[in-house]
Amino acid sequence: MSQNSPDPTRVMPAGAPIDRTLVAGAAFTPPPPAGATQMGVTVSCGVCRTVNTGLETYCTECGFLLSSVPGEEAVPEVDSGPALELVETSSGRTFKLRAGDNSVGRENCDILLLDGTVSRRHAVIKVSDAGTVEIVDLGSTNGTFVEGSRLAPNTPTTLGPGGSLKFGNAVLALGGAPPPADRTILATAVVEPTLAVTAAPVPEPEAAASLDASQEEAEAPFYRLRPTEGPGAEIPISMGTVTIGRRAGNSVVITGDQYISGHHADLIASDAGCYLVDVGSTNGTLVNGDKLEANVRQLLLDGDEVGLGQSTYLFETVDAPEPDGANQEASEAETEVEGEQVESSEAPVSGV
Amino acid sequence: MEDRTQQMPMTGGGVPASTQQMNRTALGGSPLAPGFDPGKTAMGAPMRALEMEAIVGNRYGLASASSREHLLLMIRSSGAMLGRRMPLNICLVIDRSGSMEGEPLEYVKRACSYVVDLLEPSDVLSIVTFEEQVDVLMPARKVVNKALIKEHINRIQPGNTTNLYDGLQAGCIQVNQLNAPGYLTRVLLLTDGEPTAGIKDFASIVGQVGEQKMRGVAVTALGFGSDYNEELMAGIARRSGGNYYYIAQPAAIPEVFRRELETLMTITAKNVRVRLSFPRGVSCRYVYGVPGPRISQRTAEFTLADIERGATITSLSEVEIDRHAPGCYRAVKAEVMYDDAVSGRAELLTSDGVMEFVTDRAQVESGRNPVVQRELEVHLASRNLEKTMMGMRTQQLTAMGAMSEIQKTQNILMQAGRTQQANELNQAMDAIKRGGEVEKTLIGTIYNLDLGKKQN
Repeated sequence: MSQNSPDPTRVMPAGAPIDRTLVAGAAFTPPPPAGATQMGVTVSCGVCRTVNTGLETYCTECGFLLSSVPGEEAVPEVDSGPALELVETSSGRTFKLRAGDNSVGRENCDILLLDGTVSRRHAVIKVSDAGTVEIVDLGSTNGTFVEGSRLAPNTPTTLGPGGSLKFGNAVLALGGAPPPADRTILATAVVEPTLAVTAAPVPEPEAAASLDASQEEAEAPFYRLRPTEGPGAEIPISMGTVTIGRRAGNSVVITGDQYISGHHADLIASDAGCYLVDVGSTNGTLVNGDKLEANVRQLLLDGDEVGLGQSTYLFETVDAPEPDGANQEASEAETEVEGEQVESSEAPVSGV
Repeated sequence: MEDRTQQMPMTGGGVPASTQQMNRTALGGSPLAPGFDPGKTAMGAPMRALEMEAIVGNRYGLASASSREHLLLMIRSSGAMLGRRMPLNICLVIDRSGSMEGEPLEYVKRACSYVVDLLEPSDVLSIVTFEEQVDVLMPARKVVNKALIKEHINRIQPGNTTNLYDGLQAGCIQVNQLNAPGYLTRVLLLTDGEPTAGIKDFASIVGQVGEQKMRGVAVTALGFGSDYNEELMAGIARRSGGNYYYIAQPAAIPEVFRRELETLMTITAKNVRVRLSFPRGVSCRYVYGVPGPRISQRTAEFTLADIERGATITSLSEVEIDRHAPGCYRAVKAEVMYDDAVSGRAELLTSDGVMEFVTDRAQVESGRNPVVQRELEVHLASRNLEKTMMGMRTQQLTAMGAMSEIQKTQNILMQAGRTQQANELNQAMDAIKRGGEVEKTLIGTIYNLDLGKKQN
């Protein structure tokens, strides 16, 4: 991986080493490669890939002991509830909401607000499995406000995404898992016996009637993730952002794979290319065997191997003005993965 | 910054070179390892008043589940006599309302004269008295002509009402005239009653104390007799990190002044500020016992009381920990900044609280730290006393019931090594038997438990 090599073109043989720091351009600052730089020795964290100076004992981002090796076992996601959170406006503190009842108050509560205007038991936020949020004021002294209006005590009120909440003087907003308005594709973990190399994009289960005309170009996928191993189905990627996760509300919902987080990763596609972002998933996202750093964009190139949960996919460009190249690549890819076909006999470790 | 640390390589990233690393909790080291070794300190490291250690409530965490855990900071002050004491800059704020007339005021005069005797020419003293009016009996100045100061003191005459707010204000103005970093600044407020003139509400008075605290002025609250407002006086002390005393008999006033002054004279660390930094996946829920902690997404900041020679101060906080990939992690980076009386400068201590995430549940059960567990019990005991106090006030708890609750708490405190507070509870139980001022002593015990301070 030479720093001085000329910019590689977008058309590269699959599997060739690519200096992504050059391909990606200066639009964002890529993490420098592990090892020596002009700045001195750096150490890349084995867990979150954050690059630390050699003087750090623990990763500055995730706290991992840098001299050690992370455990190999992937940790299955145990909670199945929606990853909703409340964000305190004044401090930026986030409070995770769990499925079921979340108590809000000043003492011994799930959401602990240390403010004198918050009652000891102030309110309860109920999160259903489907991700709907209801809030009930428990007769607090200074009241609970949703979008500026005070709730009647002991009366459930539904709270929408981004909704603002006020408990006494504490102001919070509902964040996390914004259900995107675009289509939802169910990529179920049903084992598909055929390798859909040349298969047409997965038909949309919902009528395109709900789409605006402005989203017209989103109709046909420009790229796709073709499954090569594991239970995953094909993931078509259209222009814009595609969210991937286990939870309903993502553009691509992957069910039946415990190693996929509620909201696992995003694919951001444009004419300039397709980027993959791990949004902080528990078990991570792999590109050609390397784990992505959370919330850092990774440019995908044709032939890249993408690991999500128990499945491995091949990244491909779908638009076919160059039939020769595309076919060649596809067939290459096909031979590569033959024989590795879906052997998902290993049952995922269930939540401990 | 001058590098006086010889054992540690220069640390980058703006961390002062005098940063001291203590990783005793890392990788299974016993948190009970001896903390302070003056001999070792004399070998190479600079002389500092404090040592600090961050301890996680459990060495192990379950990798596959999120959990709540406690973090303990243990800040120890050496018992050794090192360097000179900090010069004091104190103001005596004395209630001379009508109710103080007679014996109480005579003892107060004696106590003030006693304070003058204890001070040295390097110390600064001012005296303010208040009733309806506020008088600056003696503006802030060095204690040189002791006889003259005592003459002033003997001129204190009783007045009418109690204008506590303005009296406190005037006292703070006096100490702020010479609030230099080298001085230990303290206002000693003595009152025997409810505020009856001027600004009287709790929030305004305690808010005023909070403002002064930001300037480094702490208020020690001395409540005398049976008519003062213990909630207010303990609230003042709590907000500013000063001490709280309940003085039942006038004859005890000089003794309590002496105790407070001797405490002040042994303070080796003042202006103690704590910053806890958390990695991704760990967030702070709560900091026990401190007023107004500032908790944000990745940090928690708060102040602690001044620390005397030979004392240990502990601070407990609760964190929420997300699932982690198995391995060893730093769960918290603790930094303590303070003004050191021994080295004569601002110092910074750091310590890492480390835990290992594993998949074996039994291993997690085995990793609990008994020291952290005990501190948690002490805090629960303090909350229990609060409940007992409320129960008595609302008469939901009988004297017998209160006695047995206090007895239970006393046992917990004895086991946790809080002998001083356990003994204080004897006073509370005596007061119940005699029908005396239970709340005034109980509130002091609760406050002292929350301060987290004990003598080594």
